[in-house]
Amino acid sequence: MGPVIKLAGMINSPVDFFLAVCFGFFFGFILESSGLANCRKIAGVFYFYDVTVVQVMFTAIVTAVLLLYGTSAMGVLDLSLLYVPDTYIYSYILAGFILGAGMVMGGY
Amino acid sequence: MKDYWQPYLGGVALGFLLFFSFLICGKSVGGSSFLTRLAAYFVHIVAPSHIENSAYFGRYFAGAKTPLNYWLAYLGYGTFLGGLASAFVHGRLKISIDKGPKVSPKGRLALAMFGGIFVGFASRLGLGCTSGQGLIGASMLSVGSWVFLFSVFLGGYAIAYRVREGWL
Repeated sequence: MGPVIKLAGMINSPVDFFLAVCFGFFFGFILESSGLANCRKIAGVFYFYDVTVVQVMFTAIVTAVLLLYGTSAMGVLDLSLLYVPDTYIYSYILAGFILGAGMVMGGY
Repeated sequence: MKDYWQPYLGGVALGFLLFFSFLICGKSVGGSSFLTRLAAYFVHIVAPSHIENSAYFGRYFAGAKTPLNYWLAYLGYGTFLGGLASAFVHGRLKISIDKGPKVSPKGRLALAMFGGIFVGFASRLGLGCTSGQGLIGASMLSVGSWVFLFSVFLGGYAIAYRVREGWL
């Protein structure tokens, strides 16, 4: 049944792009409403004065994992058709380290 | 100015969004590739042949393609509008330089620029940022994404003391 657009062969169609704008809108709205557009909150994680970012991120991940694997177990969603970044362990360790350093410098 | 949402509520909302995006479109959020493509788009205006022949950016233009006709670019426009709408309805819409009390606005902006260069470089090296790798890869239980995510926190904590003037 899912992913709907992919199974319908409508990837990169106007409908797909319109949905991207909609999902983006909610993404931006949720991030701003939760305080993740506030650099002082993001920096706060690294000085332990505000851990909102960690709470939001990990709650989101746990929620998404439960929904994704739950619906997959019910046969509603085919996980093998979903996008997953390729795995390059050493590059990711280095990239993550540099990104984290940049994040605490810049705040985003 | 209204308060921010309760973090766990925001997290659940975000989790549902990630899920529905996957369920319907088969992919989900990302931030850095939109910015990469936006940069390529602007460079293409001033130096078209240079960027079309670039090993990394050239593929965005192969076969008369345009870099911004891309799912994550449309998502990026939506994200901008959504953030703007949220700031507006919560009474937070204003132009300001958010920073710690000690640092000057110029110092804060300089630090932001260097931080941005680091983040931009790292997001290409790591094939994503805290959205594409951190949220999406981690939700798909990708080992690489979890390694990336923990490295982000390690990198942040490693450098935090050095740049504390910017925030504390």
